[in-house]
Amino acid sequence: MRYNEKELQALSRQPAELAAELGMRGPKKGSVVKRRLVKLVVNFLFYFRTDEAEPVGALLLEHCRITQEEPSGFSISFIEDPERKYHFECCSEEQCQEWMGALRRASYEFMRRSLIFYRNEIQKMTGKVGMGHGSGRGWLVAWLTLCCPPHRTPWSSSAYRKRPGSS
Amino acid sequence: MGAMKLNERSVAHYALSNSPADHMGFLRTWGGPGTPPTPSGTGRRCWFVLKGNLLFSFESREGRAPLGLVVLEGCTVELAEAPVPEEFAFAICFDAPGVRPHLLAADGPAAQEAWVKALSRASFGYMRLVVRELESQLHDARQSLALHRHSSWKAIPSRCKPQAPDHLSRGLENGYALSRDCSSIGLAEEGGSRPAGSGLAECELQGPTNLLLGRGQSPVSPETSCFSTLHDWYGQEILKLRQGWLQRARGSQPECEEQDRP
Repeated sequence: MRYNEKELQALSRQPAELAAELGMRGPKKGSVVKRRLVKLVVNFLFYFRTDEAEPVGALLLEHCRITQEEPSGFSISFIEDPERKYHFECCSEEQCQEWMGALRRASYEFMRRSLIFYRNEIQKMTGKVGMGHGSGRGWLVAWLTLCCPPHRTPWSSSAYRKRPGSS
Repeated sequence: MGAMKLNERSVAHYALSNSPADHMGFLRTWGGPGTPPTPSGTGRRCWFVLKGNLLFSFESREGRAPLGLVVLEGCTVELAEAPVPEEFAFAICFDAPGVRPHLLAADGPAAQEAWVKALSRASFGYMRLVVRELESQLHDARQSLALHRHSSWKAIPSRCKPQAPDHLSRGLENGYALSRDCSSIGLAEEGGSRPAGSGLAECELQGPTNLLLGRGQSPVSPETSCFSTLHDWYGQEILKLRQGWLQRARGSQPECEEQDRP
């Protein structure tokens, strides 16, 4: 699969959600722990040799599972091969929990679920209070009224629902 | 220095998985393998799939492995001129040294417009902005509900328990728990659960409760399980917020070190 390394390198220089020096061990059998500067940027985890400016590698964090590993460490594995784990060692339980929480939230899929969750919650609230009253002063009303077009969007077409690849 | 590593197998698995795609279609591309640095010719026709901030290309709709990946962070999407005189071209441009624009062309004006819109909104940061705004709106709506529970509603039972935002965000951290909740809520319309006739309609609700929908409008349609449709619905106000956010993001310095290659 081709990708532009320079794109990812540029991304690795963006402001990070979290960054720290951690012990890291790759998934291959017999790999040893190495000190790495680990940096979470959007849904990518970059890892650098501690004295280098360009990352050694990156992990896309979609469909990943974060598991606590004793002591004060965690591992990242992916849905298609859950036993293949990237191990990380933290300096404290607190740091470990901080990283685990951040990594679990660091996927586009997580945000998509959050969006649906909040939308449903708002709907439940509006449902419970009944039909709205008032002059529509509220930001949410103007916003939703404005953005609920009666016409079909391109994304509603049946072609959009086809899945890529085949199972 | 060796090439940068990436968990390619997992990335390819994600590309082919049933996770929602935000847009897909045929596009001609000039950035494929073995192509010269300057785009020329008619390009290569590929099947493109947009998932979140990741744009995958496949040789065909039935492709079993992605040909390529473009990560859509820190980019802008602009209309462009293809090397041969043709319409419907656009480019994904990066504000980073050494990263050439990705030139793409759609089959028609509607497809071009749809792609430009979808790609412009594809960044993680933009999605985060939308989610934070919704979170804030929900918080405000709950606060106003709490206020009204304590004012004129004393005799009327309410099933809505205002929750602190902290509780809300903690509940969301574990993606697996959230999936379960969402599946019980369902992504489709919950029309039957509305307590429309429970006496609430008689209340005079003033002030902040005009946050709520008027005139029986429902924000929910079955298609809103996909972000693109959701986005279109939340549309215009968010676009304005995003523009302001992008301007601020461009103006700010990256927090981490920026070192030149030794």
